[in-house]
Amino acid sequence: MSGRLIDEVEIGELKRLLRAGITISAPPFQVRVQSDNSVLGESLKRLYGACRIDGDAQAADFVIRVGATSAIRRFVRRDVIALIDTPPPFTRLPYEMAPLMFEQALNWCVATRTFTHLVMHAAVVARDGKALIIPGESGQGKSTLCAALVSRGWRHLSDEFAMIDPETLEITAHPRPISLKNESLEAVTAWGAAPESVMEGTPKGTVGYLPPSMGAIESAGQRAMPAAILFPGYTVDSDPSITKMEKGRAFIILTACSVNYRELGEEGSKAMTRLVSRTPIYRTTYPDTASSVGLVESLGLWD
Amino acid sequence: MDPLLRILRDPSHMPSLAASEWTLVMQRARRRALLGKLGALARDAGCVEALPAAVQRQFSSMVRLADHNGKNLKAEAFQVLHALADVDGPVVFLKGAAYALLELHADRGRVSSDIDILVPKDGLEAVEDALQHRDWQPMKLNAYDQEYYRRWMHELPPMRHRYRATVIDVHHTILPLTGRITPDPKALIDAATPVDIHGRTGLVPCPEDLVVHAAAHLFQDGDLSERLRDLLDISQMIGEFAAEPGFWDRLLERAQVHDCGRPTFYALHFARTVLGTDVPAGVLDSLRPHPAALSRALMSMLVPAALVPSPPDNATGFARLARWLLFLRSHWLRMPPVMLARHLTIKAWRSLSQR
Repeated sequence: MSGRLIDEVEIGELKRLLRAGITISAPPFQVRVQSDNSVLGESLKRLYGACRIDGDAQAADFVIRVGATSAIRRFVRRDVIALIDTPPPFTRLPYEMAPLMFEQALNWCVATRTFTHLVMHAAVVARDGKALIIPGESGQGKSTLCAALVSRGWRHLSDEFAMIDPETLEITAHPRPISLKNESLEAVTAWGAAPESVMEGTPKGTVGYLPPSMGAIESAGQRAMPAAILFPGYTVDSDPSITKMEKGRAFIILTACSVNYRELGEEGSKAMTRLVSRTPIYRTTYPDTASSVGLVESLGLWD
Repeated sequence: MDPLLRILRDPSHMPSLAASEWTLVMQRARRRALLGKLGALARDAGCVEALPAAVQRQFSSMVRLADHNGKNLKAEAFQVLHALADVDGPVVFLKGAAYALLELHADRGRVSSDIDILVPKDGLEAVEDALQHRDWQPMKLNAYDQEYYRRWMHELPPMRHRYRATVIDVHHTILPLTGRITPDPKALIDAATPVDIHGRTGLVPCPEDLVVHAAAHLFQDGDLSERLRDLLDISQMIGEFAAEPGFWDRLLERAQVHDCGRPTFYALHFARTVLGTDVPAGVLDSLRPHPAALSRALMSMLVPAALVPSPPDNATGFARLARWLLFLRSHWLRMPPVMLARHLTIKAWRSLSQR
């Protein structure tokens, strides 16, 4: 690996480089970011410390500029918006929420511009090359479960997207800061994790992140095959339960979780059919994180 | 030379671009639907492996998207023929749909979601009814726009499929009725050639009409702003069709039949000067009618600056001026001055009163 770890770049220098633009290696992508927002500079150091920057030696998959919506907004009622090459689908946020803006913009780029893989909204963790896919929209507990398993030594592949090779079903890791909201922030604090860049009063409530570890970034190129798909079901006061899901129903729900199923046409539906028919799929309910981890371990797929 | 033009003129130069040049080239290409085409050119030139990893990834994504898009267009064309099975009269697929059905080089890496068809004007109503019966619904337009389309345009207001969300434009001729030149839709239909679409037979314009239509669309009906992709389509069609004996003579003839000497002249001229397309010198001189010397000089100054996509939010002053002047030109060509004044007044009034 070439380039410098962001963690080793002194904050003043990082902000100075960021003003001109830096290209961050966020496997598998190279992401160019340019911003004069100092909150973003600080959060990049904390959230992407395990990633590398390499001057202008790398071409970038995506280019994201993060800045004020107008000159006056750099001084009065300061705000922030992400700009990309096509008209941006984002709405402006207060200046301090630049980290959230950047994460949204990068997620948007990955979701709308990746057609080499079947991409679905899901967290992915793995042990021994066997991956657990945890699908779901935000708020259903996928990030919390992902964070819990990662804290217990699972490899962190992604908190947001399962990128599945349509031929081999192999999963490409895209480890990024794990995004946690509201109660899930408290849940992870309970087992000693320390969310960074916590922002209160965002459109999604309070948002914070757990940065990917050095190990997650360095192992991003390693092979992982889907071993199980598990729908998270955090429910207050429920008894922990896990049941196998009927395949036809799972197919429909997973299709709805996919961001590019329609665009991939026949290739996408073949890949989804293969994934659903080969992989055991479970539905769960659980009242807390500890019991959700217990349910995953009870599957016995990783012994 | 602009690195984007350098690699379009000769894709084998792609490996010589620096990483930082690629980042900007990909941004510019992405803004104007050129990224997939670049990807296909790299693939055809066999130089993909020599490119930076990020470029390979993005090319691969866009080329795959375009491949699926081509298949979807063909399936959609089948649905259109199915919907129109009981309507008498020919249905000609135009533009992107035709390129996809013919699997032209111009279709490689090209993404377009709309289907354009041409039908005889007297069959327009039956076609509209039949499509609406099969779930293509008129897109929401206000009364003025509806009236404008039906009275002055060369197409019906666009319709969108209720479930598949594909958009169809039904044309009865290839340029607005208000414009300075009036191509012959009957001649285009009479010369159209059959193409198999999953067992049904559709029609596409003959090769020369495809070029003339693309030229008219770009140089007579559009404002040219950053529309390098459309010039590349033309350049690729010329490259592919010119191998057929007699192509250039037929092209001269068809340009005349459609009253499109001028736009065809500009298309060939700029394909040659901007993209390095081979055009025999005699062809340009033989096109009639010929643009006047002053127009040619002005266009030669403005078009290259306007046509080539700028970096995001960073167009040069000259590119902006050129685009503005060519925007005025496009409206001038589209309708007589009094009508233009009325149209722009209504548009301006509406945009003010809607605030």
